[in-house]
Amino acid sequence: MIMNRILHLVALAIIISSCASVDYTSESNSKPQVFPDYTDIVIPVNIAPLNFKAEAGSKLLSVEVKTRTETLTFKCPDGKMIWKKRQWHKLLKENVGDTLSYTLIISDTSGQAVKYAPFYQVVSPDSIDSYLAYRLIGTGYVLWDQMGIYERNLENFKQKPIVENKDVDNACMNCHSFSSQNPNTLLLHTRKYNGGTTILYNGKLQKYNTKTNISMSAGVYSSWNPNGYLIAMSTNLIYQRFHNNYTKRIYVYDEKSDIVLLNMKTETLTTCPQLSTRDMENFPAWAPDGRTLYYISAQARKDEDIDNFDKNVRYSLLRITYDEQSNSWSSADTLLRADDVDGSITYPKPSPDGRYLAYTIADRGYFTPYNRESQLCLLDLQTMETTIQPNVNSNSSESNHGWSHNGKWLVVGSKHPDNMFTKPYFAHFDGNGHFDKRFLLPQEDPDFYDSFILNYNNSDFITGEVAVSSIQLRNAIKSEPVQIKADPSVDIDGLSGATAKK
Amino acid sequence: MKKSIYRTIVAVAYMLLFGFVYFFIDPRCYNIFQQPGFVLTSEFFIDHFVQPGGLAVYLSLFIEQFSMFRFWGALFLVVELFFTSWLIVRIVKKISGTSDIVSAVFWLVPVAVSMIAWSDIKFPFAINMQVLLLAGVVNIWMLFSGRHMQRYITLLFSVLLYHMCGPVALYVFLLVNILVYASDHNKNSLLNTAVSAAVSLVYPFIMYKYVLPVSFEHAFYAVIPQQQKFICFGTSPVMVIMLFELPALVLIGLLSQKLVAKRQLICAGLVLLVLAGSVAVFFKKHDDRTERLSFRFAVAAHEHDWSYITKHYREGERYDRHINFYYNMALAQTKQMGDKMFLYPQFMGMEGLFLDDPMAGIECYPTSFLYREIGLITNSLHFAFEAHVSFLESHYVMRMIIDDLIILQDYANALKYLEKYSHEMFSKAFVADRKNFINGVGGTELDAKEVSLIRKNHPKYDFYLKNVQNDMLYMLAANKDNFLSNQYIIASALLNNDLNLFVDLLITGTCKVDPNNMPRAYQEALVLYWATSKNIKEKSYDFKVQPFLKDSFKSFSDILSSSETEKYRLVAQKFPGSYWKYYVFDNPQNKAK
Repeated sequence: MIMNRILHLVALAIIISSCASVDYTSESNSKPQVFPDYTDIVIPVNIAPLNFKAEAGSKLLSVEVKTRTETLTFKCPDGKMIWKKRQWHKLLKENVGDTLSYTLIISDTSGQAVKYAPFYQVVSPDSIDSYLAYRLIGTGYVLWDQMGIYERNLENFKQKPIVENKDVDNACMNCHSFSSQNPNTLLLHTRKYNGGTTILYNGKLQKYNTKTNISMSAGVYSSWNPNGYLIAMSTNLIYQRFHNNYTKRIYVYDEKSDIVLLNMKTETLTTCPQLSTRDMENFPAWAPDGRTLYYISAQARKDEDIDNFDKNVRYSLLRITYDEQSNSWSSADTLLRADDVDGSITYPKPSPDGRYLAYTIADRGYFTPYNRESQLCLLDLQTMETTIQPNVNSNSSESNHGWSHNGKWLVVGSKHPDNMFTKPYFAHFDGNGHFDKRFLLPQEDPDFYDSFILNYNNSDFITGEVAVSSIQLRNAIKSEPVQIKADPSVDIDGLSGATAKK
Repeated sequence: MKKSIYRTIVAVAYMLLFGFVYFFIDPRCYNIFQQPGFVLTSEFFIDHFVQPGGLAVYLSLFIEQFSMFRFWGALFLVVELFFTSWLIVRIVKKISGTSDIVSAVFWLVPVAVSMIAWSDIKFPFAINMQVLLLAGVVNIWMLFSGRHMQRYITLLFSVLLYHMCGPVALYVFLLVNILVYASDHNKNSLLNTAVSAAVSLVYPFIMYKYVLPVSFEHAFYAVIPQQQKFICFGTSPVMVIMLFELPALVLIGLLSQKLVAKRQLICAGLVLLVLAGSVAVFFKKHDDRTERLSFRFAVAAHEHDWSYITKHYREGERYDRHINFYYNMALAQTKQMGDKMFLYPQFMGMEGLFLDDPMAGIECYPTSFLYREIGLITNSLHFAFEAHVSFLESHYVMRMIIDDLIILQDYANALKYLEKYSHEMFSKAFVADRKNFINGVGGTELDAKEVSLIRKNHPKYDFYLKNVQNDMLYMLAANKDNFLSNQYIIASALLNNDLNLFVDLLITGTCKVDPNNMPRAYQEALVLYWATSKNIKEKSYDFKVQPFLKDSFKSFSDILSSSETEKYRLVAQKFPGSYWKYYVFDNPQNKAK
C-alpha cells in the first residue's frame, strides 16, 4: 500500500516536472527558427512524429502545444522536441481538420530565454501513402560501392532495404518505379554486374534484358501505365562532365535518347518514329487515362553545345496518345515549349486526377539535381496556365518529385539547405493548383540530418511494403535475364541513335 | 632449461619483433587506405554479425585503426602475435607435453611467420583473423584438458565461428574435430565431429537461403565477406596460411605425441623447420616489396616528406605506377621535375603523372591529394568523394573532404562531415582543430596562409574539367606563380611527346621558365625540337641550351641511325634518365606502335 503511494507520488512528480513551464526573459513577435522547419505547415493525419530542435546556436527549452481541447507542455532538457509515438498519433487522430498551435521558449545565442510567437500545424484528413521508396547513395559521381533501394514507413521511423547491392555483387541500381504507387508492382534497373531490368508484374518477379535492335540502350527512366502492364521507358546514352565551379559540380546529359514501350503481357518492346526522332525524347509519364503519354524532348545536340555549357539544350513538354488495340500512336503534340517558359522542362508528372502536371524547370538539360536554379512548377492541363510553386521551392535544386496515390501529397527531392545532399520534402496539394508549405521527411532524432551524408535518390510513394522480399529480389536480379522481343512491325534503327531507317 | 633463460629468449624475440615492425614495417602503411571500425549504424548487425566472417572484419577494422599511429600500431601487432603464440604453446603442451625448450620454438614460430610476411600489406588483417581463431584454440584446449565439450556447445561454437571467421574457419574447426577423434577414438569426439560436420554442411545453406546479405560464395567458401574486398584486395596468402597454421600445429603436435614422444627436441626443430620453410617458400612467391614501397610513399607524401621519396624511389623491384606518381609529385614539390623526372622510367606516360584515368577506388585518394597540392580544389573534392565511395569513412578520405570543403568555404557541409567524423575514434583533435579554424579561433593545424594560397590558385571562373593539360592552363591563368602547375603542364607536354606544345608554353610565357637556366629535360626537349621540327619557332632560340647537349644529341642520333641491333641497351647505358630515351623508347605510345 505504502509502496503504491510512493510510486504514485514519484509518477506525479515526474509528470509535474515534465509539464512545468520554463521561465522566459522576453517575448518575440517573430516565429521561432526550428530544424527541420515544421512551422506553419499542413501535415497528413498519419505522418510519423515531427520531432524538431531549435536552429543551430540556440537551444529549445520548452514547447507548449495547444489543441481545441487541451494544452500540452513539454520541457526539453536536451534541446529537442521528441514526441512519444502513441501520444503523437492519438493527438493527430483527435485533431483531424484542426490546428496544433506550438509556442516555444528558446534560449538564444546570448543565453536569454525567449518566448516566440506561436506557429501552427494543420492536421489534414488527407492521409499520405504509408511508404516512401528511395535509393540511398553517397556523393561519388563515377564510382560506386555500397548502395541500396530502401522503403521507409512514413507513419513511423522504420526503414528497411528493398534490396541492397551488396547482395547482388555490388551492382549499380536505381531508376525504380511502381505502377500507381502499388507495392505489388516494381521495376528496378541494375547495371554493370547482374545487369538488367527486374520487374514484378502480376505476382511474377523476373529479370529482363530490355535492349533490343529497336532501342539504343536498355530502358532507363520508366513510367507504368495505370493498366499495370504497359511500361514506357526512355533509352539513353548518358554522359557526365565536371564543372570547376563548385556550385555546379556536375552536369549529366544525353548524347541521344528515345522512348520505347514495353508490354508485359507479351514481353514485347515497341516504339514509333514520333518517339524515336533525332531529337532527344526523354522522361515518359503516363496520364491517368492510360492513353496519353507525356514526355520531354530537346533538339539533337550539336557538337559545339557541350563546350558552350549546353545553354541551348532545353527540353519542351510534349504528349502523344497510344491506342493499344491497334498498336498505333497519334502525332506528337507540343504542350509547352522551352522558349515559352524560358527554361528546360523536365520530370513531367501528371497528377492522379489528370488535371495537373508537375514538372521541373531549369536553365539547361534534364537531369537537374545539381541545377541550383531548378524550380518545381505546376501546369494546369485545362487552362494551360503554368505557375512556379513558391511553397515547394527553395534556393537549392528541386528534382524528382512524385504524387501520392490520392493526389493530395507531393514528394520533392531537394538539396535544401546544404546544396549537397538530396532529401525528400512533402507538400500538401489542395486540388486547386496550390501547394502548402513543404516539410522535411521526419526522423526520430532531429540531429539526424546534421551528420547524414547520403542522398535520397528518386523518392517515390508506395501504398504499402513492397510485396517481394529482398531475398526474392536478390535471386531474381542474379538470375539470367529473359530477352524482351522487339515489335516486328516497328522499323526503327535504335543503334544509330534512333529515327526510322527509311 | 632454466625458466628465466626461456623467458629471456621469448622476451628478446618479441622486443626485436617490435623494433622490426616499428622501424621496417611501419604500421601506418597498413592504415593509409583503411576504414575505421565501430561504425554503429543501423545496418551494423547485418553487416557484421549476419555476414559470415563479419565479426572478424569488424574487429580487424577496429584494431587496424591503431595503425594510424606508428607506436600503437606496432604494439598492437606484436601483442596480437604474443597472444596467439601463448595459446599455441598452451595447446602444444597439452597435446604432447613438451618441455620449455620445445615451447620456446613454438613461441618463435609466429615471429618467423611475421618476419617473412612483412612485405604483405594484408598482414595485419591476417593476424586479426588469427586472433579470432583463438576462440577455436580455447575450444581445442578444453577438449584436450579432458573436459569434453557437450554437443550443444560444439553446435553453438560452430555457428559462432562461422559468423566470426567465415565458412573456411568452420571447415578448419571440422578438421580439428576429425583430428581429435583420430587421436583419441573417443565416442564423444565422434559425436562432436558429427555435429561439426552437420553444421558445416547445413548452416551455410540456411544462411544463403534465408538470410539476406549472404551470397552463395560467401556462404560456402569465401574466407572473408565480399564487400570487404577493398580492404583485403582479394584473398591474402598471408591470411590463408595463418588460418591453417593452427590446425597444422595441432596435427604436428598429435603426430609428435604418437610417434616421437621421446624425442621432443628433434620434433620441435622439425616443426620449426617444416613450418618456417614452407612459409618462406610460400611468401617468396608473394613477396611484393614494390607495393609496400608505394604505400610508404603514400604515407611520406601525406606528411610532405618529399626527401624520403626522392631518396628511396629506386628501391622498388619493378616499375610501379604509384611509385612513379609519388616520385613525380616529390620532384615537383622540390622543384626538380625538369631535372630528374626521367631518372625513373615513365613507362605509363601521362598515366604516371596523374591517376585520373583509368580511375579506380584506390587511385582516388592520391589523385585528390595531388589536386589539393596543385590547388584545383574542386577536382580534389571530386576525387575525395569518389574515394569516399570505396573507402567509406576512412580517416584520410574524411579529412581530405573536410579540408577541401573548408578551403571552398562551404562551412555548413564541412561541419556536417565533421559531425559525422566526430563519432570515429581518434577524430576528436582533428574535429576540434577544424572547428576552431571555421570559427576563426587561432592556433589551428590548418595553415591559414596555405589555405589562402590554395584559394588564390583555384580558378574562379567556370570550365569543364576535361583533361589535365587543359586544367593546368586554367590554373596558370589564375596564378602564374603556381609552381606545381608550371611543372606539371610542361611534364605533360613532354610525356605526350608534344614538343610543339612544350615550345609554345615556353615562348608564349604561359609557364615561368628562366631562359638562361632551364632544367636538363627541358634543354634536351628543346634540342630534340630543333632537330626534328620542320617549322621551328624563332623565339625558341631565346632559350639557352648547354653546348655539350648538342654534341650528346649527335651521339644519340648516331646510335639511332646505326645498324646496331641493341639500340635500347646502348641508349640506356649512355643516356640514362634522358628525355631522348623516353621520347624514342619509353613513351607508351611508341611502345603501342
